[in-house]
Amino acid sequence: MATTSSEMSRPGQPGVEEFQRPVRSLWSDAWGRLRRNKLAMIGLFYIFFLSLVAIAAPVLAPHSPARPIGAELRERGAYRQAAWVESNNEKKTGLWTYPLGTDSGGGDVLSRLIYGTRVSLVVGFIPMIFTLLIGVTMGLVSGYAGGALDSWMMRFTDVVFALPDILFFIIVQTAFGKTTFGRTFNGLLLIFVSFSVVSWAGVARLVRGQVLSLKEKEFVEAAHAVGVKNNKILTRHILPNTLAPIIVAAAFIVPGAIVTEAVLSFLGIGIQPNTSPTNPFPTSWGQMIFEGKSGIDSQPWILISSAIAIASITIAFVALGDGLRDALDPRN
Amino acid sequence: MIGFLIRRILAVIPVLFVVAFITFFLMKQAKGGPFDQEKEVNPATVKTLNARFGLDKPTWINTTAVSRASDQGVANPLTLTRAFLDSQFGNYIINAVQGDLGPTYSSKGTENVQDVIKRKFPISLRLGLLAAALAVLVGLPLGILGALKQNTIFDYISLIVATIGTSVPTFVTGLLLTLFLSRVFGVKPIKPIDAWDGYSTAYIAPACILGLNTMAYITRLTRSSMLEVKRQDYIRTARAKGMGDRVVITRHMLRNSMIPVVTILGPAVAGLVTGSFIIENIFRVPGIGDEFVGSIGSRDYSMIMGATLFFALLVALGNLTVDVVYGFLDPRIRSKS
Repeated sequence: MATTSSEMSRPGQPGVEEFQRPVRSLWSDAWGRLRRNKLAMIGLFYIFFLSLVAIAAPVLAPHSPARPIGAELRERGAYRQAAWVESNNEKKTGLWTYPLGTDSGGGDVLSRLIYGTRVSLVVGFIPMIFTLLIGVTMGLVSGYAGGALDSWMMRFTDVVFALPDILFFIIVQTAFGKTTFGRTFNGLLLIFVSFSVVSWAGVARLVRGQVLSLKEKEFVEAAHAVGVKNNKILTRHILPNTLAPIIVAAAFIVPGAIVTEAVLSFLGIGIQPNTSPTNPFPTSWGQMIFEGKSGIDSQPWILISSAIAIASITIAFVALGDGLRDALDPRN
Repeated sequence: MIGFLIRRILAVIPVLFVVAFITFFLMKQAKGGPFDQEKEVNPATVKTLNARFGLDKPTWINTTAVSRASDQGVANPLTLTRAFLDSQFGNYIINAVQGDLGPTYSSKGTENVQDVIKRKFPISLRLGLLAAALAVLVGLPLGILGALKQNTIFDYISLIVATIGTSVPTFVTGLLLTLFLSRVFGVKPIKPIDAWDGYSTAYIAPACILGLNTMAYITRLTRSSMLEVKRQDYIRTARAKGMGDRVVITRHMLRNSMIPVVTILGPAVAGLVTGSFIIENIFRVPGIGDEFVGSIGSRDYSMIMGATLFFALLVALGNLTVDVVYGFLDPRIRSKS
């Protein structure tokens, strides 16, 4: 540094520019590392692409995701094969109007797949936000307060952490699925709540561990010394330093939530089908897997397409999460 | 060590109690009882059934029984406590501690939950153990190979397997496999119940799918922990003093990198044994998971409660073994907690 600044004080010297580097923050550094990770970038672009698909679903989908009635149903036919599949029955032979065929009620599989993107993204991101809110608050308070409060909060966290989560979701769905609360947003609200209520424990443990080591650091002591208030130390000094592991955890919570919805819908107790054409969340990939399983011999593409959709979105998020972890932790 | 063990075992009790409490509370919220049939049932019959299953008692605490007993001049605190707990929940817990999980509703009280578990659990256990064996036998070598031959084709294969295996949910791979088997080979999921007695070929497909996630996880863990150990000074020392490749790998690297892998085995096996209900549903395995999914549909509350408690116990025991094994392998953990 000393040589650089002395050279900079002598203008006109050739080659000086090469020594000057723009200021790089931790975040731009991490972004640079993430950008070099091909797998993570493919994942990021795929998620971005799916978000666009979810928003533009009404424009992109060739048909309405709802099941047709009357003449249209007769024209579409139930369990019409995918476009490239020939069948002896003229009503079952694939047509390019319905590229992935139709389901048991004549619904267009491709359109349902496009609309299903919405549920998967919403069900991934919203519980993630709730989970982080609860988990980060609990972890910050518990770690910073210490003492009896910390030990009671952590005991509570341990119990929540030990709950067998998928069983808990199943029981919550059985208990509340038929109530008004359980029907709000086709049952999505219930999934959000039950997922967040259990999953915060891992985040709380993670954040608490970070806080415990951070609060002993000199910069926190310095802040105390100049009279900064406790809540300001927490939000301005400690929280920003715990962000990196929180972001990594968030990237892994999303696929967990997506799979949870799919599993519940697969068991027939997830989101409830809504046939109203104005509903923004008419169907989900988990539901399509559930239907595709019973129609596995008649029309395999319901199952194949939705299975591939779920598999690829979870791979994308896990690849992104791995990339973020490598990028945000320069020690590895 | 003994104190550490006892503390860990005692910590399981509140977890199980909370699981029981939450499950019981949620089951009470559910609309529609097990005796709600399509056709109207005689109210007297419902009353007898309710009395038989103890459903006529208060849900949580029985204050009327306490006041009745004290009116009769009972002063023994034990008797009074028992009267206080003479509720649906109290009786359930007291019986559950004694290993009685109550009669299943769907059998109209002819079979107990613990009998169903006893009958069906061995199938799930076999499936889980086979999956765990597969996960270890394939995952470990793949991870070791990936770390030893870093940045070669072996490494890439192990990385791809690990990424796909950990991220794709098993029910997706399971369904695609059944589809593939039935389309290409004409193999249907096996239905006859005697096909699942003992270790038979029927277990191959479901065990492979069930073990996939854990296998990928073990591969990842082994690979990263081997890579970390590879860089340690004592490995360089061992090589510097002229030790052969084989000895360095088996004596120094493998042993030290196995610690994190061994510690995940407990919860992994518990997870495989209890987490198989979707796989059982797909491959029509008549195990306890399949029974659980069925009991959700038929609203058989005692079966749901019993199975949940049983699963929670297994998961807690799995976690307990990790803590204990970890305590043995790494003495620092013991002194900390």
